[in-house]
Amino acid sequence: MIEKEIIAGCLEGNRDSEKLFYRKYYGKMLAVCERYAGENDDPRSMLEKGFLEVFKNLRKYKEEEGLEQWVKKWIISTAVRQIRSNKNNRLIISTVNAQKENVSLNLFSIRDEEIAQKATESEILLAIKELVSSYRIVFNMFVIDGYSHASISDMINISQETSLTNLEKSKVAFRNNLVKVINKAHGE
Amino acid sequence: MENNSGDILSDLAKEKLSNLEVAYNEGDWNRLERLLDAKRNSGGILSLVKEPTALFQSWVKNLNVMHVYIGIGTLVVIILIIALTGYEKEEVIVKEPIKVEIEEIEEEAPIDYSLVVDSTEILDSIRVADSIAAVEEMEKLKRRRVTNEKSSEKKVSNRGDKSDVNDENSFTISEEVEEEEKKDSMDLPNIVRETDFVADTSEVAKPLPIIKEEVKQEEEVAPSDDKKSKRRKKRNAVDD
Repeated sequence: MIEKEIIAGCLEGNRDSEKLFYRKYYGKMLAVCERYAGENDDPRSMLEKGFLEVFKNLRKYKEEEGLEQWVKKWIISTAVRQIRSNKNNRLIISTVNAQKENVSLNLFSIRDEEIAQKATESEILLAIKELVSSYRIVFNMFVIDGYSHASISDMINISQETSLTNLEKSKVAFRNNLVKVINKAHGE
Repeated sequence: MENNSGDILSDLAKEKLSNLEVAYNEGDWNRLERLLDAKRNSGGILSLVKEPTALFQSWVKNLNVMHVYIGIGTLVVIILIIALTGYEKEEVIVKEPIKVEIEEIEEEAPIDYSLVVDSTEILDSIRVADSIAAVEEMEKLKRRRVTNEKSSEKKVSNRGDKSDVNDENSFTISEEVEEEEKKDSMDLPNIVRETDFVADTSEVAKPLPIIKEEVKQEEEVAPSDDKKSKRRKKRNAVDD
């Protein structure tokens, strides 16, 4: 079934078309939600709410944007909204920062190339999940999803300066988290 | 040079995670399906409720001859109902006010336009009436004055001997007369004092000399009566 037909079916409320649409983007969008979700967030719940928003706003879609990017944008914005509304994320910030400050003192002795050689996908994902929510959001959006600071500031309502500083801090925090995860995994 | 800024690791994260996919799970779809049903039933998702244009397009696509006949038939029936009911209503609305208007016009008395006079004519007639009333009042006043003067003269003549003694009394009588005159003048209508009347007095004041002449004639007549009575008395005395 062609993409246009699937969209037309979804607009008419055809359940089969909706299922096809969901199945087509499920794997990629759930992976996105896994990256954005913290230890206290449910990525599958994020995905459900994201797809509800996608079906709700499907009429606004324009072909120039590209359907996958358009769906991803809605999934990310819904995920960010859910992360911000989760009160547990706010309470954890201080404790995570304290842990990271203690660990980060000995981490710069290891070179990035060494870490890159050892790191696996799951370890990288775990390192991202352990980031503070504000750092995690900016790191995911800028580094992995390729959004500019301007579009980040538009999407999550922060200034571009805040986005820039959060990115620099998130990179350092991610490196420290990754070293820590690798050390745990290798028993060092 | 060691590079520990995290850029290398960031690129690594992008490389490893950007194309990551998770295996499909049917249970997740079932949960979403239930949510979609719930939202549709409550009308929460607006896009899932078909827009009028989309509804019309789908209706046109599924249109067949029977639908066309049914549609045309219903349209004809609706037009007939509207036409019939609308016509009756118009009759009711138009007739009632006309009846009322005719009755109102019939009830009103016919206007005699021959009686209609200009406002200037009415004002002139009012002024004339006022001036006549003022003249009458003036005449009354003059008559009172004449009678008062006569009465005062009589009183003075009666008290002729006592005038030396009662000069003060004679003075008081004249004062009383003056007061009466003042009272009379106070009793005059306001119209008499107004300037409008003063302007018209040139015409109204003309009769006044006539009144004076009449009074003089009366005065003149009065002594002649006395002479006649004296002559009669003399004749009576001669006869006696």
